Amino acid sequence: MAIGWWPSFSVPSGAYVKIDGDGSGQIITGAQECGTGAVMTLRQLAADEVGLRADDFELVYQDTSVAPYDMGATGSQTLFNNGRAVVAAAAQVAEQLRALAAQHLEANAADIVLADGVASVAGTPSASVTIAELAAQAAGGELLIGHGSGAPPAPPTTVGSTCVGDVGMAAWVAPQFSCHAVRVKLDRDTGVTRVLQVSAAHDSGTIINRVGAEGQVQGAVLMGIGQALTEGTTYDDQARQRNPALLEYKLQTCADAPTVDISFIEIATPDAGPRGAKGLAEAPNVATPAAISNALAQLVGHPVRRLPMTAERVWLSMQPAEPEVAG
Amino acid sequence: MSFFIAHTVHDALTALSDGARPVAGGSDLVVGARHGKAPLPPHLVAIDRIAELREVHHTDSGVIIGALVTHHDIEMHALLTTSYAGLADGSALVGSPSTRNVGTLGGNVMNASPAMDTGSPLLVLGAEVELQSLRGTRRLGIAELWTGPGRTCAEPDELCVAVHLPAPAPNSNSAYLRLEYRRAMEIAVVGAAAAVTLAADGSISAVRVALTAVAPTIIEVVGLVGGTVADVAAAAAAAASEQATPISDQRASDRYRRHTVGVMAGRAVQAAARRAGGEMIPVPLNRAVGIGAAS
Ligand SMILES: Cc1cc2nc3c(=O)[nH]c(=O)nc-3n(C[C@H](O)[C@H](O)[C@H](O)COP(=O)(O)OP(=O)(O)OC[C@H]3O[C@@H](n4cnc5c(N)ncnc54)[C@H](O)[C@@H]3O)c2cc1C
Repeated sequence: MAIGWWPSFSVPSGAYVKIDGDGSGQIITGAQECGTGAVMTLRQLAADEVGLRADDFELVYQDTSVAPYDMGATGSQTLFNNGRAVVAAAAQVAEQLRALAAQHLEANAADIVLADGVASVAGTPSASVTIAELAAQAAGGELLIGHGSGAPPAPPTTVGSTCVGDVGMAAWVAPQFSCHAVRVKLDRDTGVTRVLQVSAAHDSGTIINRVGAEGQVQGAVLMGIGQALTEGTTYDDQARQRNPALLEYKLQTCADAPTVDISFIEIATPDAGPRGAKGLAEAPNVATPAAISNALAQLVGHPVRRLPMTAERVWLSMQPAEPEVAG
Repeated sequence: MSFFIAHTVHDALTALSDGARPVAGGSDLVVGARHGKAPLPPHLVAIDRIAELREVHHTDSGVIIGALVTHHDIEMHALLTTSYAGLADGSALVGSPSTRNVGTLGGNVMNASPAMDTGSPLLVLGAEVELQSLRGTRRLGIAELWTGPGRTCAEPDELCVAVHLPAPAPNSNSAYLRLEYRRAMEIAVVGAAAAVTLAADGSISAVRVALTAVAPTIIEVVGLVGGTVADVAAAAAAAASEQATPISDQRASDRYRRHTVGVMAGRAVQAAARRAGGEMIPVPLNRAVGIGAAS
């Protein structure tokens, strides 16, 4: 078993959101989707803001010379920072829609509810107009375009002196916590270790897209198993990598995947990102290798001190008075 | 550069005699060329459409496996997975489902990698390869075929058309295990196959053991005699570790290979004996016992 922690880096980020005359929306962002799940989550946030479906939005990734700035898909921060920007941009479009609907329905803009593709008056659901109709109207006049960034939450102030100083403190804006438990099987004659089951509990704040979030945990747990057991670069005496391809740099495969039980602990965190969400993608990488290492230490009677804990290293660590292998 | 598609053995032999190299599934030849192992030969003859080489024939004296029979065919074959289980253990471990669907037994054998997974099972099962050229046909014991890593004694104009396996003796069976660090897309770190025959009292009356990835070719362990299953397994483990001449590379050190090939040999003997005694251990053995087991 092991616990993990992952930061939320509070940094500037921006997005445009627009809805075209046919009622379809677009999110134009400098943030990128490279498997992080942003593609679904950002659309969900924009859709919820304006009362459309996530499917109604297209995510348009652009170079930051064209789209608003984002720091890139690093550190599992896209939702935390670009999510905030998308919500702010979509909120401007929602304001425009409310104003249009208010005219249409002869109501107060503040009383307009945007949901399920329809703008209606609170308390009088029969007074309504579809968002597509409003979008068509806007296409002939003031276009539905929003831009947003949102103020990044301030980091906690440093109290006294810490070894990481202010830079480290910034990482404590809305931190995530995790706890993983693993069941591991060791073949003592060869040192080969198999992970049979992983239970992963995560506090990532509000989970906006559950299917996507579970996929992130499963993927990261598999990568964590690889880090623990099989993935490592090796170099020859000329400093050339000996395993530059996937034949010898051994990722885990589907056939190796254990059962992964996932629980999300959704508790409110001060300064969390949009709708109380934090981040996720890399966080499950943290505890898995540590949990495997702890399980192995229990089985062999001492920690195996080098990653990856290859079969040979595990076996050697069980041999009497032998130094561990290099390389 | 020329590429010729043969539909009959004769077409293929003619192309070979004109200097072409055969390509079956291409999962060694083409993949190797892309990885810069060896350039693609300038003249290729594709043999994968020669229907007659895709068949498995069961005869009175044993079984004849056509060179184009794939690893998937073998792992699914009713007779091969039961009476020649060690071979099926090997085929079922090759690469991934897609590799097993394109990779052929002939290609595995003729590629002559010391880490090939069908090598040691074929050796303990007493396999012979049938080589054909326009000059004629010959059969030789499979151990004679392999002369070094990636090298065989076949002439460039010879096509492997089939692998012959003798009928197993009563109360005998085989098993193959490999050391692997993951359960798919893996290459044997080391491996061992055993074929055993049981006497009426359940002890082993005849045993053969061969080793994978611990020498320039697949090698047979010499000097083994019958005895109780436990004794033979222990003797096989010790002899395997002693007779192996492994190298150190990034997959494993020589010391670790020498130790683990003994572990594999001992376990292969035990599993072959259980199968010979009538127990059904499903193919591949790696998923049923030890390191790769499901739980
Ligand atoms: C991703 C991947 C994973 C793999 N994993 C494994 C593994 O786990 N275990 C393993 O043993 N192998 C593995 N291999 C290697 C390969 O798949 C097998 O060796 C396969 O059996 C080769 O068969 P083939 O038909 O593709 O051979 P080809 O590539 O077509 O041919 C291989 C060689 O044999 C020659 N040849 C082919 N057929 C004949 C014939 N009938 N007569 C004469 N010469 C012939 C060719 O000229 C060539 O030199 C893997 C390969 C890949 C790409």
